[in-house]
Amino acid sequence: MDALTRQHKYFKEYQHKFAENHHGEYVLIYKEKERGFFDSRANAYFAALRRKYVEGAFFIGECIHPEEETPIIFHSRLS
Amino acid sequence: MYPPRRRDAYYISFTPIVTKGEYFVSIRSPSICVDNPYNTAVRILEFDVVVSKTYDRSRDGTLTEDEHRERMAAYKAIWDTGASGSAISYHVASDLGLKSHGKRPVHTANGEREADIYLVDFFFQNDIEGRSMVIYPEVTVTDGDIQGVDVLIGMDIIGSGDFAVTNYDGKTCVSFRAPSMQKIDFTDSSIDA
Repeated sequence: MDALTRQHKYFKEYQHKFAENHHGEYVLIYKEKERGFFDSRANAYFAALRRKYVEGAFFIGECIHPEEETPIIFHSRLS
Repeated sequence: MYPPRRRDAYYISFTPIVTKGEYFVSIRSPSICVDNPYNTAVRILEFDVVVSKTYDRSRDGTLTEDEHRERMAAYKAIWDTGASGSAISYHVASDLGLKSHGKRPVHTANGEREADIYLVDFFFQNDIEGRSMVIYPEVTVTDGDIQGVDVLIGMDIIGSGDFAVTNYDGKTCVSFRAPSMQKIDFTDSSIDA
């Protein structure tokens, strides 16, 4: 399992808690621990880079409940 | 289709045009992006877009031209109203050295899966000659296997502005601007031919 997948798994494990406490924010996860909550994905991303987190090893997730997640729909060219 | 450009053509009007807080920026026409490359009627709204790894403009300032060259490239894209979000091919992610920082469910003709997501900047030309560019920064995109092109510009971008496709005189014209500035309704009798 690669580092990003591990952080994703951690996020899914605590997603409800993140959504309850920080709904609508973005959580930054690195080495299977939350490292802060941000008002946008970009701000979380730039914070990770400033802290010298290894790209590809940190995860940014939107703090919403799983049932609130909507897939991006591609009707034609993407597979 | 219009002929592919050399990558160099995209660097003419970069520099200090991007400041924090401005969403669309260009030298010539702030907030407006026009794409009109077709001399015939077309059935696929294909065009060139420059994709770049995003960067923190509030701290890193403006990149030098060489730094821009390092992190960006031009790819074939299409305007895709059938896509609820924008996407890049696996090739673009690899070519630009992008590293994913998240995952998002995507629903395609092949079913649903978790796609990697990235933050990128899109640069659109905003005149026919490609002399100036409009930047659309910090766009969240998913990756995938895209047929025929490398980038899908989806409704996340199209839906942020006004988008028109006309075919007057047998020539397709695509025009896009953001933010939205006006309702256009062709059934409105007050609009003349």
